[in-house]
Amino acid sequence: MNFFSFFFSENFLIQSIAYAIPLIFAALAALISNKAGILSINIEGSMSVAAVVGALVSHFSNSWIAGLLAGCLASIAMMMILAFASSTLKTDPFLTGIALNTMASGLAVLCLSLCTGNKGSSAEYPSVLVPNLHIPFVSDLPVIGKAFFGQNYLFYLGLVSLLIVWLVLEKTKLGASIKGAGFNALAERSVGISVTKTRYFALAFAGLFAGLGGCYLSMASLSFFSTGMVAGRGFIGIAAEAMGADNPFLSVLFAYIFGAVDYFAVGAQTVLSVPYELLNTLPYAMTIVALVIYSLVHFSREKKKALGGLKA
Amino acid sequence: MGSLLSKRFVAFREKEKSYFKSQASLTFVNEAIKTILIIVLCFVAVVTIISVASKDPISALKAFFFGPFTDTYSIEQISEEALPLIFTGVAVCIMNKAGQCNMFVEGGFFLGAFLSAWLAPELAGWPSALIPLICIVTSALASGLIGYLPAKMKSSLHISEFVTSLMFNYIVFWVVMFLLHDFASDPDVANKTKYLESFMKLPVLDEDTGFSIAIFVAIVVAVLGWVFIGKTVWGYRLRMTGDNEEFARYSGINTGRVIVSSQVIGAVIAGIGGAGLMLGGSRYYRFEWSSLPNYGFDGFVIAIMANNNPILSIFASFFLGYLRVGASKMSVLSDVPDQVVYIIQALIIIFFGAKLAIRFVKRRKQKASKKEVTP
Amino acid sequence: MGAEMKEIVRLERITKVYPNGIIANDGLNLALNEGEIHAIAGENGAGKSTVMKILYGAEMPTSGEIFLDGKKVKISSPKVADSYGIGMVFQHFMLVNQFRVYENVFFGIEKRNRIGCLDRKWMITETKNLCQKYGMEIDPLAITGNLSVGMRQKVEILKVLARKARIIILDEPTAVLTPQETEVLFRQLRSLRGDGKTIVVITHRLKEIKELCDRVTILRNGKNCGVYDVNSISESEISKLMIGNSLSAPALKRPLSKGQTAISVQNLFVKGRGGKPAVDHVSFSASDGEILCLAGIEGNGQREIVKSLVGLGRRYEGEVSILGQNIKGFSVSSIRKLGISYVPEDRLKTGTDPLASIYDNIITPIVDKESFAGFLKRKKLMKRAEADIVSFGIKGTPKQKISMLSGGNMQKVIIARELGGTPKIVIAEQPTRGVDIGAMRFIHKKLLEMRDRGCCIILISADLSEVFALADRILVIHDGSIAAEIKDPSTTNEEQIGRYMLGIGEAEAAS
Repeated sequence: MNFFSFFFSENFLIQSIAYAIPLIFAALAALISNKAGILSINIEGSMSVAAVVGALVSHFSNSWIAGLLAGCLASIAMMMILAFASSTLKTDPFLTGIALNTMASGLAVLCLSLCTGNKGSSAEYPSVLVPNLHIPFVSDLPVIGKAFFGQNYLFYLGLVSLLIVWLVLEKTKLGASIKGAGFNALAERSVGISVTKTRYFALAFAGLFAGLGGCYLSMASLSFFSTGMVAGRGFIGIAAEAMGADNPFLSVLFAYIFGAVDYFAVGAQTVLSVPYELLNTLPYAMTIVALVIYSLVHFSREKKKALGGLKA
Repeated sequence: MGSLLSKRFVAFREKEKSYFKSQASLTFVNEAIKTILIIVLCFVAVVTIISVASKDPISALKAFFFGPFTDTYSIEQISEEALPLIFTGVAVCIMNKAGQCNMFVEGGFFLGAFLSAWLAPELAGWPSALIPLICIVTSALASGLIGYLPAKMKSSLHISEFVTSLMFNYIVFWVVMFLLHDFASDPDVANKTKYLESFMKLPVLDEDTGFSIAIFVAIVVAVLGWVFIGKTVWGYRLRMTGDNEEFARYSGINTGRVIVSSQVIGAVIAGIGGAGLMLGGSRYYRFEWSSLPNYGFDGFVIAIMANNNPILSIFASFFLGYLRVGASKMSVLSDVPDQVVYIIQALIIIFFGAKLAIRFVKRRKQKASKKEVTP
Repeated sequence: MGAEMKEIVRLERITKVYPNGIIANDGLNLALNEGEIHAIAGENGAGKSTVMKILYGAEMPTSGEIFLDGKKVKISSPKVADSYGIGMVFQHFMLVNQFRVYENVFFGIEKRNRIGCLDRKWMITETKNLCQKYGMEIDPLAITGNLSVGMRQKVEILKVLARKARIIILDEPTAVLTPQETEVLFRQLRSLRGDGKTIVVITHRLKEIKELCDRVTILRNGKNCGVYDVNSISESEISKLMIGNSLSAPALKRPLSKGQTAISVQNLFVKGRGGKPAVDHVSFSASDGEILCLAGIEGNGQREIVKSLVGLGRRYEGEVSILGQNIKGFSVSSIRKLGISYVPEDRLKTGTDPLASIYDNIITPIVDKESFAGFLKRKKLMKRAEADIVSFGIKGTPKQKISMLSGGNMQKVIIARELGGTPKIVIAEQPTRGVDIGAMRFIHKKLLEMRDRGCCIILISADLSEVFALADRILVIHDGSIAAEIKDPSTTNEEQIGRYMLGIGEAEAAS
């Protein structure tokens, strides 16, 4: 197999979408928390916590639904700590995010060793996997069958999440207050809306999405949790959202592009004679290149920054 | 203008000054109480977590709080734990003061450690005083060069240095792994660098425990950092930029240069830290990390506790070192794993970073503040 | 007017003490009658905004009670105030600039349709209805940030009306309006009064009190100095009560003695948004010893002109020379080294380091000079800071945090910093905005002193009374070009300048 047949193959299409799933969720989580005016750096840690909790709970309860629920609850709990720290304690969300990321890695190992006695992975206690979609006949179509109709359930949940995000932001009162909290929290407070409550809601959504993304890693992509398996995907999701300029559809699009690069790094090892360590740098290098290109384009269009929103 | 020298005015100024001074000392007392309260709160949290997680909480707690002092080895371990934290803490302090959040402290540290461990054995024939020096300089340069990239992207293209530096962390990690696996490893031992003989490392003060001068290097770096921030022109510009970038620009400060230089300095210190860790002390004789050691992120914990003051970072690092040694003692002597310390660290950041203004000492009502002074 | 006035609001013994010790309101008693236009008058810092914010629920009083229609009420938040029919239009608009007009008007009270989604159609129609009823012409679908200041103020008023307010409080509404826009606002307020609404106007402008209001409550130092029928009190009596007796006379302006040309601007062209230039081939000059004022509505190009002069706006065409030197491409610090000082208009955002001490804020221009091998000469710098604090009458000690100071004192720190080093040219943007009258007089005095010593001063101000007090020459800027040059301010008045600012009237070079 040469490079072209690798790149322009059905397999590439399927896998690039599959690898994009956690990034899509991470991007959506970043989007909704950004809209509310909180930079939520702990998406990475939340995914980690969700992954370990989801994997273990699914194993011990023998149900992937229970695993998903538990994992999402864990990541939502993390986000609630962020919400509490930034609203009531008035700790800078950036610092809280770093704190929670550190805590998450420690908690993950803690959970792991308490439940399995192993500090590295839960492979001996395999998770119950989230199933893939299978529609008879449609899923077997060539090229598009598996890629669009045979993906993991979480992919479709991801698309549904995208729709929900768009609906909430554009069509609901909550969406208006989320946007208001992000643009001008002072103004929002002055009309009597509780910015704090709004941010709690937004972060709960973010926690849900981060949780789904994390669970995908340990309950679909792989069948176990291993330390450090999130590997920066939460941050790549943040970068994808930044490139999507707070537009949910664009953010998901960029998340897909990064997912494709992620798979490329993995899959190309058999095709290119480049050492795997260097290939692994590709998703990260790509993110930087994309950000550079984006800002150059941004500047040449001389778009001025948004019309003076206040973040308070 | 003659009225300014009138006695009444001078007396009023003196009263004003003493009022403001007393307010300042009230603030200090306030902050001190807050700090102590936070530490107490964290301890309460620790006790609670341990009581839940352990079947024999009493012995676990004893090991945690008192274990580090039971023997000289443990005491020396505190200093070993504190060593990398001082470096990364000071690096983060400087960058925080400039308002930058360059996460490459982590990658720079990692890179510095690797380069020193790789380079030192290769310099085996050189005079033993020069070897650690060359390694430190190389690590500093390499780390500074790479740390320059996200900084330049921020100042010229306005790309968040947070995301780019995080990406660089992972890139550096994989490149180091590549070099380690394919070039730098000991021919006899896979995936580890060659053994560091004692003549390659920093001078040792105590032959038995291997206690080296590395910790003093760290303290010197911290003091230099403090002098730089508070007492130099460049440090002043850094602080102004960090507090209010627009104001700094309007005042004629070259904020672009400040943004870049503060991040490069931070990266350089991180690189020196990595070198210092490898070449100082008894813990490391080979570079064998297979994942990022998190010292960079720990630097943020230190900076928060120390309120971005490099001198206080020294104390914060020793405190955190104490907590870590306690946690590891506890994991050895009881059934609580030492990852618990990460939860404690997280709580510390959240509580220390809280800007919630709690007033423990009442302020006197000041009627004088409404009166106008007309010269 | 004329009929028996019913009391609608009564504030009793309102006291507000801030955590940093400042007493904003001191046992205030205040009463409002239904259907009147009531002025709350006083100088900056008298406590006018604070007491009204308490009525609106945006601040909590330290002690005191509020009575509405005779019944005691507790107004714990703006939402509660809304439910009582009290609305407030702030001086700094509380609008989300990215929202459309109707989204701002109904922000927080959005209408939902049967399935729970936002009923945008209804809100747009309602906004149109409100506009028609009260004679406002605003497109509900316009993006709020694109509107002029006067229009945005109307959106704030619509917000209040959409919430069915009976009592409308306006905080310094005319501070951002031209004389013409003020007229329109007054007409609107009178029509609202005719509709039975009670209007409260917080102001320190005597002419407006006389022209618009029925009664006036005068505050000074947080205390109530009396309630008067506007008909039965003169402007100078109001002023005396507002200011008290401790104020010195305003500084006299000496006759003009111009020196050499200090600033020369030729054909300045700055690109703007959407194809229209921000500065359209503007030429002017300013000399030593004169105060040149650039008057105009915010957003007509003054900002960009100033930016080109101080080095913050490097992209321009044309020639800008300072003291004979073409400064194209110069950095901010090199231009400052030529002898320019700059007082920016927003003291918190760009004028100070709000997290630092007075000392840190005052020494900025001299750190380079007073240093040795990169190290700050602390003793010398501290001495200098102390001297500045004394000579500029700043209430504070060098190590004190600047955020604890009042607006006036903060502004004095900035003035001390920028004027203390005897610059050759001073560019001052809104130097006395939001500052109490004592500080304002002081700053004016200092500016006039510098002018007499031969300094060239360019003043940008929206306060026309300040313009007339200080300017030797006035350039009115409209739409990026000079609409009028007035070489002798005594030959014109505020009305005329207002017309030029709006682009009406001939650009006469009155001499």
